Amino acid sequence: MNQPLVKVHNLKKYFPVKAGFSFGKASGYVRAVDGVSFDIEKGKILGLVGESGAGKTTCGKLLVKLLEPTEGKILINDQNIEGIKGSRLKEFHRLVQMFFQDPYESLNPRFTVMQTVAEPLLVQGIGDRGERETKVFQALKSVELSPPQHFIHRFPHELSGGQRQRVSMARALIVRPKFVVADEPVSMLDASIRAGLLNLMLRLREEGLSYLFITHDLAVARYLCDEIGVMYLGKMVEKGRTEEVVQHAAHPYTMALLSAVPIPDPQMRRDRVVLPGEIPDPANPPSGCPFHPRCRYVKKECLEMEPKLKDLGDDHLIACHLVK
Amino acid sequence: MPKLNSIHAMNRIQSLKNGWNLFRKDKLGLLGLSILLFFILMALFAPLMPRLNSIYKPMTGFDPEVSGSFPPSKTHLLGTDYLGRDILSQLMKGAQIALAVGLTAAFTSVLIGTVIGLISGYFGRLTDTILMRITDIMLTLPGLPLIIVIASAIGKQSVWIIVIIIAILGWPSTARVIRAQTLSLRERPFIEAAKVAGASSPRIIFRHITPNILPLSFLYMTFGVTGAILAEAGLSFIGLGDPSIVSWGMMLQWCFTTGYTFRAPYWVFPPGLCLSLLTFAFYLIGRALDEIINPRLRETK
Repeated sequence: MNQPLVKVHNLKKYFPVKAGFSFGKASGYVRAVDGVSFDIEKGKILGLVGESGAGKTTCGKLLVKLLEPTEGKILINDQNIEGIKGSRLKEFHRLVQMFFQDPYESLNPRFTVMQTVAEPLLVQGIGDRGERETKVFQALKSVELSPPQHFIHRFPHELSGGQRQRVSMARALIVRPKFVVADEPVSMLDASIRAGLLNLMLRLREEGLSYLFITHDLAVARYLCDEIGVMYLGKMVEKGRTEEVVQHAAHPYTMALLSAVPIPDPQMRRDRVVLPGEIPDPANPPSGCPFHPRCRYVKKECLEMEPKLKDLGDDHLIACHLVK
Repeated sequence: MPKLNSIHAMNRIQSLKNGWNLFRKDKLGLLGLSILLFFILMALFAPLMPRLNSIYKPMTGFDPEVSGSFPPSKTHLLGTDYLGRDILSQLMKGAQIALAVGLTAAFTSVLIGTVIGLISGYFGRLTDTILMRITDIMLTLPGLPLIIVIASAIGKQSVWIIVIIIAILGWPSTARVIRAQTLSLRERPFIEAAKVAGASSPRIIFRHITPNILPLSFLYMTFGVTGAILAEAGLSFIGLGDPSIVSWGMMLQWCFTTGYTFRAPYWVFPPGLCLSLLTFAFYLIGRALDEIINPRLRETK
C-alpha cells in the first residue's frame, strides 16, 4: 500500500456566531466541519458527497489553506501545513491547488486569459516572460483549449462557461500541483460539457494527480472517484470504496442520497426515500446522531448517543447505531 | 512583448469607447460636460487677459480712468469692482482657482478615502475596527465650522491650506463606500483563486481589487469636486479665504463688504452664476457616470 499523499485527522472548523452587542465574544459556534478524518493516496480521487451546508466546501478550503482549522491535523506530503507562512506557503501552493465551482466568478473580469493563467507563475517567480508564455500555452493545450493563441488575449466575458472553467483549471495546473481540491467544478455546467471536463480530470489523474472531489451529485462521484465519503452536518457518516458505498450503502442518509440519483431506464422503479425537512442548523445541532430528526429508522439510542465511525470490513466505515 | 501590450491598450481603448458611447446617450451628462468645457476654456484663457492690457490684471489692474465700481462698458465688458479692477478678468482667474481647488482637494480626499477603504475592507478585524471608528469620528465632525476654526487658527491663509483641510474632511464618505465594495470583492472566488495561486496581500489589493473599484473612486471624485468648490467659496465669502488670490467666493466677499450687493448686479451675478453652473456641471457628469458604473440605475427603454 502506498503512503498516503494527504492525511487528514480529526479536522474541525468552528465559525463563531456573534449576536447583538457581543463585543467580539461569540455567542455560539457553527460547527461547519466537526471531526473529519481521511487519507488520499497518490493518484486517487476521494469524493466528498453531501447536501448544501454539510461542510464539504469548508473542508476543501481548509485543505488549500483558504481557512485555518480550529482543530485537527492536515499532513500533505508528510508536511504539517498548520501555520505555514511566507515562502513556505507559496511553496505549498505549488503542491496544492483548487478548482472552483463558479466559472463566472472565479476569473478576474479585468484579466486576460494570459494574465490569469500566468499569475501563479508570476507570483511564484517561476521563469522569465518567455518561459511563462510557453508554459501558459502548454497549460491551455493540456486543458484542451486549442489553439491557445486564440484564447490568450480574450477576457472572461468573451468565453463560454466551459471555456472559463478550463481557463480556471489551466491556472491551477500550471504550477504542476500534486493534489487538487475540486470544489464542484462541473455543477454549474451543461451536461454536454460536464463529461469532457470529467474525462480531462481522469486523464490528469493518470499522470499522477490526486483529487479531493467535492460534489452533491452521487452519479458524478461514482463515475470519477475511487473512494466516497458522505458528509452530513460537518461529520463523515459513511466512507468506503466507491462501488462498496454505492452497492452496499448502510447509512440511511446515503441510501436517501442514492435514491435521488436518476436511473437511465424508464421501466425501472425503485423506492424513493424522501427526506423530510432540511439540514438542521449547524450552530444548534440535534442531540445524539445528527441525522436522527430526518431518519426513518430512528430509535431511542439515536437521540441520546452520537454514533462513532465503525469499520464494516474492507475499509467501509459507517456512523450509525442500526448497523451492528 | 510589444504585441501583447498593444492589444491590452486596444482593449482599454475599447472599454473607454464603450463608456463614452453610454455617456453620449445621456443628454444631461453631455450638458454638464459642455459647461465644464466652457469653464476649462475660461481658465485656459485667463492668463491672456493681462497680456492684452495691464488694466486687465485681476488683482492689481487698476484702470486709471475709472475710480470705483462701474457697470459694463466697452473697455470693461462686465464692469469693474470697487477698486476699478476688471470683473471679467477676475472671473476668468476665478475659474482657474475653482478648478484647481476643486480637482486637487477632491483627488486628495478620494485618494486617502480609497486607500483607507481598501485596507480596512481587505484586512478586516482590528484594522477595520480602528480605521472605521476614525472614519466615523471624522464623518460626524461638523465640516464647515471645523474648517472655519482650523483656517482661523492657522492664521496664514493660503489656498493650499484650505485644499488640505477640505481633503482631510472629505475622505470618510469615500472610505466607507470603498470599504463596502472591497468587502464584497474580497469574498469573490477570483480573489480566493489568487490566494491559492500564492499571491501576496499587496498584489491582491492592488492588482485584483483596486482595478475593480477605481470607477467608483472616480465617481466619488466628481461628487467631491462640487463640495470642495463650494467649501472654498464659502470660506472666502466669510473672509477666511486666501487674500492674495482672486476666487469667485472672494469676489462675492469684496462685493458684499463694500456694500455693493444690491446696487451692482453686474458684480454679484457673474461669480454667483459661475459657482452654481460649475458645481451643477460636476453634478450632472457624476450622475451620468453613476449610471454607467451602476447598470441598475439605467432606465430601460
